[in-house]
Amino acid sequence: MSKKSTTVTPAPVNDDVVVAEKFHLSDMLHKEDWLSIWGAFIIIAIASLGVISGAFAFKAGTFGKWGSEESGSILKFFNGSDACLSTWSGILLTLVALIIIFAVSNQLMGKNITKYAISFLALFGLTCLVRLISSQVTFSKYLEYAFWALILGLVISNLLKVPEWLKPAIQTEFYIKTGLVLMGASVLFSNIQKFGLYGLGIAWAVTPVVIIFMWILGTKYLKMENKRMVMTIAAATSVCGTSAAIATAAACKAKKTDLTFAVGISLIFTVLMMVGMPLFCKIVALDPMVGGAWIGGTVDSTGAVVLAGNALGELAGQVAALVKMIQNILIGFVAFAVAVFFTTKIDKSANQTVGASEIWHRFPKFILGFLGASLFFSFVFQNTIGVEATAKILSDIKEFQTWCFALAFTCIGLETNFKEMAEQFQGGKPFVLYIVGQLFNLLLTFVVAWLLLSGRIFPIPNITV
Amino acid sequence: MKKSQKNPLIPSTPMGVICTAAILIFLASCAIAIYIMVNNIGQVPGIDFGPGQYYYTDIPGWQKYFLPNPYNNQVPLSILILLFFAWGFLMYRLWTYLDKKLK
Repeated sequence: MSKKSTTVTPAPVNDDVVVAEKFHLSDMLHKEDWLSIWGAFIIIAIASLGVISGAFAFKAGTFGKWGSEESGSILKFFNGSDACLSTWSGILLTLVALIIIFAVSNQLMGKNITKYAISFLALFGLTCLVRLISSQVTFSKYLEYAFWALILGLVISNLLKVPEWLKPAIQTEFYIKTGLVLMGASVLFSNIQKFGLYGLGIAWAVTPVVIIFMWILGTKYLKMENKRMVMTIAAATSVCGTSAAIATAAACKAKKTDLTFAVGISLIFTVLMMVGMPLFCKIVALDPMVGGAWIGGTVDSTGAVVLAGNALGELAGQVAALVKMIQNILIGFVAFAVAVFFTTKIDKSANQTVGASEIWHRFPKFILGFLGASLFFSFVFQNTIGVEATAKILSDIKEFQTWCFALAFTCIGLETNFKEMAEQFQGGKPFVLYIVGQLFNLLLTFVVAWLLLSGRIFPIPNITV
Repeated sequence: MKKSQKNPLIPSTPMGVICTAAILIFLASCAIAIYIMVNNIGQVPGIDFGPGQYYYTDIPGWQKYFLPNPYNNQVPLSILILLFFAWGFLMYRLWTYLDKKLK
């Protein structure tokens, strides 16, 4: 396994990275990128059919919250009650749907389907444990599945040994790609108009500037050798935390440890910013609209944005949600640009010219599925079946997406050792990159939000609360 | 004479000082984040979620927050899309230019 990423050589082809290989037409039935697209499309199609026909609901199961007086104890999932049966039947449906999709895909990829199915059952069991832990009232508010999946995986891989029979199901990239194509459906491009030029100015004007700033800072000034890690951290900081980190890491073929670092640091600072930013806005008596836009443009996680915005008031909450909604659209386009950039500028030998066909060969194809799902839901589905029905479909497929990402993060934990993680710290440079980048993001977003929404230059938008 | 030995814990270069400061900030942030979580700080009555909901559809009842149109946009969608792609293209060119230019 390679330990370092080089600066101008092709992406290392090993188990550590998401791999894109030379394209043949038969790849569409045998390669992971394409199979992830078809698998996700099948889930989307069945869920859509269920909503449109009204005959059934194709929805993945999950654990409800537990650990407080209102939500009850963890025992409610094991006491044979109606709630218990409904929870486990939903999870069983999820298991059946996912095992069919992933096992058949593995068969098409030429792998042993029986070995895969057995190991997937165990992996799914571990992921169930992760989701059960993360459903605890406090954990579910602050950290959720990505954190607990990494912790559980790391504990097993570093304290115990990952058994050989479990390894066939450890396919991080496959689960990430499938989850991302499912996520693509919820990236509704039509949301760009929800806050007009104001939203576009705050969310879109700032984001690429911050990415470029962090790229230059990381690669030129901090001289970080691992450019993929720089990119993943930059996307997590400037776009929307965990979701953007997952998409960008897959697009630039980052190492799993790069993604782990980006997600971990983003989660920690999100908790701080969620509490600190509304407090700061109140202390300096910042206009709620400017404050809300500032929060929406800078706080990484969408849940924290809504919470922090509402902590500042209803108007701020509304503006924060509007800005974040537009930022959520950017995930696919940023991932696309990153994939093109790495294909044409980074993953090539010195003096090598990369032509259009070579770009196509190297391009991570699952991004096409992501963008395809996004554009189809934005411009075809939403206009034909309506906003409400589209929202219902998105709600139904959302849990499948969460399961895919939870499976992926459990795999990352199982494949990572602490020594390898420590090597990625490069003397603390990624911490400098995140902290300086986030400070720049805070400053620039504040300036743009103030210029657009303070009423000094442009008219204050009329927001209905 | 005995040669003075460097303490590996004390950074000797400006970059080392910056990196150490960043690590200390991160550790302090971890401590504060744990304090926030243990004490359930930052919660708003009526809102039962937080940073654990990474993406908008992760939020329970996300439709309530994201489906309404509280702003009456007058700018045509085509103009917004044009601006979106124009700015994206411009920034991509700037990125590739700076990456090549700066060593």
